[in-house]
Amino acid sequence: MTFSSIFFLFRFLPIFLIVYFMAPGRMKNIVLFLGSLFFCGWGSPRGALYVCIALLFNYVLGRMLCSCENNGNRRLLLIFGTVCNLLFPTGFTIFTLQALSYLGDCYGDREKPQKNLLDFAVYFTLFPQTVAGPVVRYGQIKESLRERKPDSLLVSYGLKRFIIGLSKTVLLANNLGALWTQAATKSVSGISTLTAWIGVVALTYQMYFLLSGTADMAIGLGAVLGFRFPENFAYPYMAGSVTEFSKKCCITLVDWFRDYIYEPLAGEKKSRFRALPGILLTGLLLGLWLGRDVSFVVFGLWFAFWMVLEQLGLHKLLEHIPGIIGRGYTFFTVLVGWVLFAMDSWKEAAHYLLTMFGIGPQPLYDRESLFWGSHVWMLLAVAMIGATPLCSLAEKRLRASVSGAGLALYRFLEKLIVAVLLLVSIAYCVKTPMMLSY
Amino acid sequence: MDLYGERKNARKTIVFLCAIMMILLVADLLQKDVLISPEENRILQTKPGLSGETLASGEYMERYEEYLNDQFVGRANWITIQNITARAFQKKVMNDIYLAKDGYLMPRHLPEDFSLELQEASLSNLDAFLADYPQAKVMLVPTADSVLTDKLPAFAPYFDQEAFLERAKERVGADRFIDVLPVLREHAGEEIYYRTDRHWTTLGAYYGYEAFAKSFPKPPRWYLHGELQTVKTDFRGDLYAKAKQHARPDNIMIFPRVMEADSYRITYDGYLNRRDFYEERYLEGNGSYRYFLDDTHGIVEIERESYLDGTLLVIKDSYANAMIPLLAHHYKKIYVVDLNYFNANLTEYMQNKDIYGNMDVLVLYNCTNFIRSFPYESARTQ
Repeated sequence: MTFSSIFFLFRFLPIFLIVYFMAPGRMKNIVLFLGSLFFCGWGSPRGALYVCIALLFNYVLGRMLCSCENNGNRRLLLIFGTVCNLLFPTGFTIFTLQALSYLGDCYGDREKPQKNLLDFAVYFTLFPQTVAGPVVRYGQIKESLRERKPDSLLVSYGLKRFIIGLSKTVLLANNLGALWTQAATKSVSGISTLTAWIGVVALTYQMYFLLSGTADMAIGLGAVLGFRFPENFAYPYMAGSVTEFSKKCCITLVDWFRDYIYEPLAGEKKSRFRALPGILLTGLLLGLWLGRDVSFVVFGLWFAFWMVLEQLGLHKLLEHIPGIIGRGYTFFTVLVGWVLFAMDSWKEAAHYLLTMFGIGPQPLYDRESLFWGSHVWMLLAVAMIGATPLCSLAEKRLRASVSGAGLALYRFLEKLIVAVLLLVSIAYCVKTPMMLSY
Repeated sequence: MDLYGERKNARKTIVFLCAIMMILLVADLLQKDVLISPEENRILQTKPGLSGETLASGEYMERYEEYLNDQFVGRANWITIQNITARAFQKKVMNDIYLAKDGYLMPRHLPEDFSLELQEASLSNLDAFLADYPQAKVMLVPTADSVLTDKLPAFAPYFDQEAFLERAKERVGADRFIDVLPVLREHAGEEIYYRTDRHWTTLGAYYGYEAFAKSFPKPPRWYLHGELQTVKTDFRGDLYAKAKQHARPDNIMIFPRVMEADSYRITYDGYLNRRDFYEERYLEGNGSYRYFLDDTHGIVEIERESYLDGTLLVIKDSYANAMIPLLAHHYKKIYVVDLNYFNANLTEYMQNKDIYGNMDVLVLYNCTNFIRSFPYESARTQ
C-alpha cells in the first residue's frame, strides 16, 4: 500500500483516523498498532507475521539487555540480536534499522528498554514511517508513545504537510521519473548528450521529491497522530560540500549510519587512520543496505570517496573559493551518484555517464533533445525552485508581514491552495493505462 | 502571537480538508460500479472475489486496489484534471499523441520505430505480392504528421515518410506507384485529416481517389466540395480517446451516393449482407470512423448491379475504408482484403475470381501501417 493510492486515501486512512480519534485514551495505541499491522499486512500477510515475530524478539532482547549485568554476556546478546535482525526475512528495511538502533541504545545505556509491550509494538510498527523513513529512534518519540495530547495546531500542520508531500510525489516525482526512465531506457541504444543531461537532471530532482515527499507525508501523518518525527531533508541540493550534503539528505538514515557504524569505527579521537577508512566502510555498508548490487556499493563508495577527499584538505579549499563553485561541485557529484543508484547495472551507469560527458559516437544534441527542452523546461524549472528554501521563506515572510484583513486573506488563500493541491494530487493518484511519456 | 486565532484557524483547516475527503468518500461509496470506461475505451476492474488463497498470496489486495482505483468516483473528471495540469506544464505529448497546432492531435511516429530492416521486410513482402499480381498499383498514404508537418510541436521528432515513399516508388516503379504525398501536400490547407483521429477525412480520401483514377486510368466522377454532406458534427476519434486532450471535434462527411440505393450488395466476411457502405449505428458515440465499411473485416465483397464487367482487388488497411465508396461505381465486383484479419490462403481465395480477365489490383495502406505490417507472405502460404 502506498500513500498515493486511492485505497490508502479513501479507505484505509479515513476509517483508521475515525476509529483512532474516537478511541479513548490508552485504546488509541491498540488502534494504532492494529492499523499499522494491517498496513503492513495488506501488501503481504506473511510480512506482517514476520514483523510480529521480529517485534517480540526485539522486545524480549531489549529487556534481557537491561537486566543482564555481565558485560561479556551483554555484548554476546547484542551480536546475537544484530545477526538475527539482519537474517529476518523482513529484508533490509526501516524495521531493521529501528530494531538495531533500539538494541544499540539499550546496550549503550542510552535508553531504558520499553517495558510495555504495546507501546513497544506501536514504536516498532508505526505505519507512517515504514515506507521510506524518516528513521525514528526510540528515544525521539518514547514520551509520545505513552500519551499524546490532541492538538489542533499539530493536526492541521500534519494534514497540510501530508498534502504537500503527496503533491511533491505524484505531481513532480512521478513526472520527472517518467522523463528519466525514458532517457535511461533509450540510452542503451544511444541518445544525444543533451538528452542525457535533461534525463539526469530529471532523475536528480525525482529522487529529491520522491524521498522528501514521502518523508513529508510520514511526518505529516505522524503529526496528525500526535507524534513529532525528526526532519529528514534540509534542502540538500543547496549544500556546499558532499559532507554538508550528507547532513542534509536522508538525514535520519545518514545519522543512523554515522552514529551506529561510523562513530564506533572511528573511535573517540577520530584519528585519520581510523576515521578515513571508517568513512569508506560506512559508505560501503550504506550502499549494501540500499541494495545488493555492485552499483549500490559504488554509489556508497562514491560519496564516501569525496567525503574522504574533503577531510584530506578539499574542504579547506572549498572554504576559500566562492560558494557557488562548492555548490556546483556538490550538485555535480550528487548527480553522478544518482546515475549509479538508478541504473540497473554499473555497466549501464558507466555508459550513461560517458554519454553525459560527450565521450562516444553520440551527437551533442538532436531533435529529440530540443523537443524535450521545449516542453519539459517548465517541469524542471518548478522542480528546481521547489528544491530551494525559496517558497518556504516567502511564505514565512508573508505570514509575518500580514495582520487583520491581510491575515484573513492569507489564511483563506492558504486553505485554497492546499485544497487545490489536494484535488490535483488525487487526480494524479487515479491511475490510468496512459503512459507518462515525454 | 494570537494563539486563540491560530487554533481557530487550525480547526477550520482541519474541518475544511476533512470535508473534502469525506464528500469524495461518501460519493465514492454511493456510486455504482461501471463495467467500461467509454473515454478510455477499456474494461474496468470489478470487485474481486475473496478466497483464502488470493488473500494469502496478496493477489486479492492487489486486485482490490485496482478495483477501487478503476471505480473511483468521477474518474473521467480526474483524468481531465490530469490533462489540464499536464498542459499547464507545457507538455506537448500525451500517451504518444502529439498535441499539435491548430487543435490537431497527431500520432507520434518516432524514426527509430521504423528501422530500415522493418521497411525492407514490408517492401520485400510487397515484391512478392507484385510478382503474383504484376498489374497491381500501390498507393501508400502518408499520415498527418508527414503532410501537415508545420503543425507539429516545435522540434517534435517524427518519422519522415517522404524518404520511405521515394524508396518504395523506386522499388515498385513509378508507373505502378500512385504518389499521393504531393497531392495531399498541395491540399494541406484543407481538412484532409481529422483533428482527433488518425485517418484521413473523406475529402482527403477524395484526393486519393483522384490520384487513383488518373493512374489506372478511369474516367473519374468529379465531385464538388459543396456536395459533401455532414453526417456527424461532434466526432472525437481514436487520437482524442488516447490523448484525452481538448481538441476541436471533427465533422464526418460523405459525398453523395453516385448510384441508386440498392444497387450494391456488400458482404462482410462472407455472411453479413448490406446495401450501403455506411453504417449509421457507429455515428453514435466514439470511434465513428467505423461508419465507413463497418470497421474491420478480413474480406469485404462488393457487387454492383450493372452492365460493367470490371473486377478490383484491394489489399488494404482502414485508410481505404473512406475511399472505397468513392471508387466503387467503376467496378462490377470489388474484393477488399485486410491481410491482418484475413484467415485464409489469399491465392486460393482469389482463384477464378478474375472472371473478366481484366482485374485491377490496388494496394492501399497508410504508410506507417504498411511498414509495421504487410503480412503478404503469411497470407499467401496460410
